[in-house]
Formats: sequence, C-alpha cells, structure tokens
Amino acid sequence: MLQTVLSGLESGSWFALLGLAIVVVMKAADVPNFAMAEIGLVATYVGTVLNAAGISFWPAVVVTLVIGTLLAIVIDLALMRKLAKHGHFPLLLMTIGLSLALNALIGLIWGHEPRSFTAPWSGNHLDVGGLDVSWAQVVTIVVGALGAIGITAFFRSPMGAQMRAVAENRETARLIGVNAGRLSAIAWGLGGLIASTAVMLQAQSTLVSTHSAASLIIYGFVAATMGGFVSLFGTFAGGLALGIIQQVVGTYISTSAQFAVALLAVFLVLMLRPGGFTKGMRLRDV
Amino acid sequence: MLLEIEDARTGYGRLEVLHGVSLNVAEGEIITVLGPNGTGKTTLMRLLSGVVPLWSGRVRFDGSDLLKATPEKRASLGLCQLPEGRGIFQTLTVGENLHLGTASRRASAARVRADRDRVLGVFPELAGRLTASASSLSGGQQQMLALARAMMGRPRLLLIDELSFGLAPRIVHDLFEVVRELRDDGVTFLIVEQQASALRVSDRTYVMRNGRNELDRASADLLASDELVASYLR
Amino acid sequence: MSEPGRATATTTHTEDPTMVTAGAEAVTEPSAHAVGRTKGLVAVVALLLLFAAPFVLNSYLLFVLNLTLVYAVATLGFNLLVGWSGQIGLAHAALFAIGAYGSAIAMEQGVPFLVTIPLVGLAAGGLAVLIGFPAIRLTGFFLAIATLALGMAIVELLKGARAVTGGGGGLNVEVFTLPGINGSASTYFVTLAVAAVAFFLVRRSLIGRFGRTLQAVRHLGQLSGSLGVSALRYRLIAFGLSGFIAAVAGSLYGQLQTFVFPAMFEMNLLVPMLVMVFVGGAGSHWGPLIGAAFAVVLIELFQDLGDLQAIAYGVVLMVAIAVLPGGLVSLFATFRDSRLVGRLLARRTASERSEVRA
Repeated sequence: MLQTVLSGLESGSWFALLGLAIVVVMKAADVPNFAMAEIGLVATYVGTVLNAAGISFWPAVVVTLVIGTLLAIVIDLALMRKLAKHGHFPLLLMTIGLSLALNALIGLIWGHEPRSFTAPWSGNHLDVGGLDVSWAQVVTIVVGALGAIGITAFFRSPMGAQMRAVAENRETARLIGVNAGRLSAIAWGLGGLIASTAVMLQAQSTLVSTHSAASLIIYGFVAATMGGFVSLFGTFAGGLALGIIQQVVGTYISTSAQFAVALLAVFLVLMLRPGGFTKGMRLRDV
Repeated sequence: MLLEIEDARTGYGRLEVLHGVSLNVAEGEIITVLGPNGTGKTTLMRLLSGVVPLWSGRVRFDGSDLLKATPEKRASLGLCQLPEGRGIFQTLTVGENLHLGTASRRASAARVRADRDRVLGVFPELAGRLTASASSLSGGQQQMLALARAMMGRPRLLLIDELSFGLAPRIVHDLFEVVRELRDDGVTFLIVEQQASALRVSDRTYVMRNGRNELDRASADLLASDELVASYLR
Repeated sequence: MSEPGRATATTTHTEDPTMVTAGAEAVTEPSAHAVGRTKGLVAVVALLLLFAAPFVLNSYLLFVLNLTLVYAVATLGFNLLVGWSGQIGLAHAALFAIGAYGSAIAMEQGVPFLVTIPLVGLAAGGLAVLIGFPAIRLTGFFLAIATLALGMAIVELLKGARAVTGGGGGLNVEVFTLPGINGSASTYFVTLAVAAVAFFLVRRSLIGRFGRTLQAVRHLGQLSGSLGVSALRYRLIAFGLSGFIAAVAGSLYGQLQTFVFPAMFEMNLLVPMLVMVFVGGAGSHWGPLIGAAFAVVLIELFQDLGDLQAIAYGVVLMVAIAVLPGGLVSLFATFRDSRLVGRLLARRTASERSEVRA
C-alpha cells in the first residue's frame, strides 16, 4: 500500500506541476492551454537528444528549461495575443490545434518510440524500512514540492500581485497601469518552464512519448480544476491526490479503469464543491 | 492645457454615446464633470483611459495625441484613473493593492518606500492594515486605498469616477479635503460626479447631458446660481 | 434605441429571460422575415441537389457526403448546446456513441432501424439531462471538465461491457436498406431525410422564442454568474435536445460505418466536433453544415499523409482560427454581427451602469 502511495505521489507531482503551469497561464493570460504538455515534451525531447549526443546532464537540463520557456513565450506573442478579444473558445481551439501540430511534429522529427532522460541517479534505489524508493521518485517529489513553494512565493511578490490583480479584474488592472501584455508573456514563460520541468521529471523516472502527453494534459487540467483554476495550493494538492487515486485504482482494481475513476472522482469533487475544493480559502492559498 | 478634448465622439458598437464633448483642464485645476445617470460620464472616463476608442474629434494630453495609447501606456504618462466602483482588488492585501499603483512606472525600491510613507502619512488609517485583506476594509477605507494607490503612481492628472459613490457625506467631505491637499502637492483632478457636493472643492464644473457638455462655469458661481437646478430639471 | 443608456438605466438586472429578450425581438424580427424567404428557396434547391447525389457521385464521394451530413447533424446538436446556450458540455462524442451502439444493439434485438432512431434519441436525451442536472450549476471550465469526465466514463463503460458491446473489439452493425435501393444509396437517403428534418425543426425552434431565450440565458450567465430557476431549466432543455440529436446522428453513423468500436468516440472525435462548431460559427443556423464539410474534407484530404496529416490538421486549424476568429460563417455575417454586438454591448453597459448606481 505504502509503495502504491509513493508511486502515486510521484506521478501526482507531475500532474500537480502541469496543473500549476496551466493555472499560472490561466490566471495571468486567461488562456486555457491544452498545448502545455506538448510544450514540455518538445523541450524534453531536445534534452534527451542532447543527452544522447553526449552532452552532460546539467547543461542539458538548463537547455531544456530555456527551450520550454522560450517556446511558450513565442506561442503567446505569435498566436494567442491577438485572439484574446474573441473569448475563450477560439483560444481553446488554438491550443488544441497547437497540441496536435506539436505532437505530430515531435513524431515526425524524433519518431514515436518512448524515450527517457537519463539522470546521474537513474536506476539507484534506497531502502527505507522495507520500502523500495528510487532516487527518481525522491527527486520528483522534492522538485514538485519546491516548485509549488516557488510558484506560491512568486505570486506573493509584487509581480505576482499584479498577476493576481489581472486574474481578478483584467480591465481594472490595466486602468491603473498594470501592463497585462507583459505579464501574459511572463506567465506563459513561467508556464513553459514548469511544464518542461514536469515532463522532464517524468522522463527521468519512466518513459515519455507522443502518446504520454495526452493523458498528462488531461490529468493536469483535472488538477487545475480541483484548485478552481485559481488556487495554487488546491491545484498542487489536487494533483497529488489524483496521482494516488490513479495508482491505487491501477494496483487494486485495474489499470484500464484508472482514467475513468480519476475523472469520476473529479466529477464528485466538482459536484460537492463547484469551484474547486479549496474555494473560500483562496486568499491565503494563492 | 494639460488635457484638451475637442468635439469627442464615441460609443459602443454602432451606438454613439458621446455626441461631441469638448472640455479642457489646466495644470493644477480641480474640474468636476456633473450630470445625471446615463449621460455618458462613465463613457467619457473610458474614452480618456483608452478602453473605448475615439470615433472622431481629438484628445490631447500634455500637448500630444492619445489616439493609440493603451490604458497602461496612458498610466505611465501620468494620466491615472481611480476606476468606477473603486477598483480595489479584493483578493489582494491592502499593501499589495497600494503597491499596484507603482506598476506603471519604473522606480527604485527606496523611492517606492518613500512614496508609500508619504501616502500613508495622508491616510494614516491604512498604515496599520497593510497586511490585511483589502476586502476587510470599509467602503470609505477602500476609497481611501484607491486614492492612495493612485497617488503611488505619481499621477499628473487623476481621473476619478464618482469619489462619493456609496459613501456617507462625512467621509465624502474628508476625501474631498484630501483631494484639495493633493492638488496643493501638484496633482490635477478631473472628477466625474452625480452629486453636487464635489463643487465645493472644484474650480470649474462642466455639466453633461445626453452625451454633450452643456455648461462650463466656475464651481462657486454654479453653486450660487439656480442654473444647476434648472439644467437638471430640463 | 437612440438613447439606450437612459432607456434601460432604470431597469435593474433581471433573472427573467423574457424581459431581456423583449429588446432582441425588435431587432431580429424585420430582417429575419425578409431574408427568410430567399434562404428557404436556397434550402429547397440544395435539398434537391443533395437528393440527386447518389445518381451522380461515385461510392467514395457518396461516403464522404454521407459522413458530412452525419457530422452536420451531430454538430447541429453540439452547436445548440455550445453555441446557443453557451455551455461547453463535452459529453457530446459519448452521446453520439450511445446512438451508434444503442441503435445497433436494439436492432440485434429485432427492433427495426427506423424505430431505433427516436429510441436512442430519447435514451441519450434522458442521459444528457441526467448529466446536465448536476452539471448546469457549474460554469465554464468546470462544466467542461465535469462533462468531459462523464463522457470518457461512458466510453470506458462501452469498453467494459463486453457482453453487450463487444468491448474494445467493437460491434457489427446490421445495415438497414430501403426496399429496392442499393445499400449505400439507401443509407444516404435515410441520412439525408433525417438531416433535413433535424435542420428544419431545430432552425424553426431557434428562430422563435426558444432560441432567443437560450441566447438571453447565455448572456445573463456571462453577466451575472447566478441564474434563476427558469434559466436553469432552459440550460437543461438545451442539454437534453443536444443529447437527443447527438444520438440520432450516432445511429446514422453506425449505419454508415457498419462497424463501431469505442476508440472511435474518444478525443479524436470530440476535437473535430469542437472544430466543426467553431468553424461553422457558434450560434449560427447553417454553420454546422459548413463546419462538418470543412472538417470532413480536411480529414479526407490529409488521409494519406501519415505524421504530416496531424501537423496539417493542426496547422490548418490554427490558421483558420487566426484568420477568422469567429469561424468561417463570420465572413457572411460580419455585418449582422457587428450590429448585434453593438446593441448587446450597449445594453450591457447600460445595465452595468444601472447596477452600480441603482
């Protein structure tokens, strides 16, 4: 059971981070980004290629993160910005179109075989009181938690406060001089950074491919929904809970039911707490 | 002239709301725009802050055309606004709201701190509540916060949409006193109001009706005459 | 309407949709009648042309046309929900699946195909109301995610219920043929007839009070976020109707494909469905037909491109959105829309103002 919970926390950390990436973009740029997983995947694939070409681990990580960040900013500036005034629907479809195109592009350039991002600690395990803990799991869970803390801290900074102001009322924020366009680019960049981190964490522990992006983005959105698309804490906790549910169902019921049960759990949460399960505590959570 | 508006027309979609408004504001003045509900006062504010586009006519701030400037650009030029309904962000703390006022300008942390201390000197009530949620403030305190936040941007011209909105007369009186103090510090004001109480502090008043400005008088004269009552009844 | 700011300034925000529609009625009524007659004529001519298609087209083109009509019907229902009532309910592909599976299974039990059409419609309509009942309290993304979850759960259920559905392996569909007409032509005629009836009925109802109320409910929902009981009822009706139409289209789809399996009804169907609604223009009357044609042509055109197919698909979608954010139909409706939007905006600012100052 503990072993299952541990795996759940690991995959939950990926979901939580991706959910956070989605929420960050949602808050500051008001875009539901379905291409987030693919942005992270593109960056991670570049990283694995560099890694395979003999570039050492840490420089490859840095390049991966930079590419994820820049790609997201370019997407915001080139595609999203001028669509904003037409509402959510075109934006939503644009990110869907983007995710299709990016996914196929990855397949075209690098193929559809699963890949991994080999880290110096890959394959090493710890024995914690009979519990088999891999270093990859430790790294994922720790980085996930640190990432969540870092994003929370960012949203408490003056720039983060501006983003929250934009999230609460975009027009008023602009009236008092907040540069919403610049913030939107920064939020996209931050989202790309977090998404690349999430996919990279997944890749250093298991395999990623063009097929893994689809379920990752759904789980990410589910985590974001649990936080009401607003609360960072709710999203993080939601992602972890989702990971645990998914692993428990996979171990004790069936792996084919994982998806449906996780989604039904979300449906229940939404029914009981429309607006996310941390609604009402938003102010302290952000 | 700090602000010149000549025959400005604008509206929403195909619907014209302002049918040619002309007014000007000199540096250091306090100007009131008075008028009943639905005469286009808020649309005038939206035009000046760049939310609705100018259809025809001219709007100049400090001698340059404002045609293409975005709201945030206007703020950085010193044309700041205290939006309708105060525009206080309820999910932010008082201090964060205050700090938002500096979003439009580049300033060192030390200068921001100095500005904050100066502004808090004007509004001592806010000083003790910086870490509290803005939603915990009373209506009057929120309006103070909105004014204080606008001051953090070091505005040259401050546009105020209904300073008196929803506040007790006593509080409105105090806020207008603050406006007068700030004017002495070099800020120019354009205040849109429904209530004539603003006339006591303002230098000149424009009366708006049906998307046009009808009267332009020294506020003191307007208060003393029957013209105001007459223009409202018409 | 020369001074709507003043005219509406005294009316406060209302939860009664009829009060809001009173204004819209005056706007749409005169033009709708004048344009309606020519449009009706065009529709009849188009129908005659479509009727002749099996005698002219080869079997592949007939299949493509048939598929377009099936998707058009499905999109008609989706557009009713997403475009007209403004609810992004994403269980549509699953309800479509219910139609395809339900019709096939009922036929196995000896129910004639034409009878299964209304049957699966009622079943899916009821199911959609059940989904909608808890979901309509949600808005925006929460509604989207909740309905997406339920839709996926339905498809998982189809995979799981092997005894009835054949599980992931799929199910053969018994093909219904009209007496004296060959198989694919017969399937096509049935599709054409159902599509014509569906478009006629939906258009009739949307032009009237029902359509205006739906739109009013949608705009009210965006403005206030909280809705009265009657508005919630209309949102539910939209759910039920869209489910009914989805299943009807699904039953036709089963006839066309002659074989159904769960993977047909996952994201790879839902995404094109969203595209069809968008390209056709959310909230338009004939948009579903245009959207379906666009999507089917795109899918068929890029069929043999392999990996390039998905890239082409994504890129074409992106370009379409970037060039025409309001959908293809917006090209034709630019003029009408600008006027409508203008009035809506005017009404909105007027009511905002009255809300603040009342």
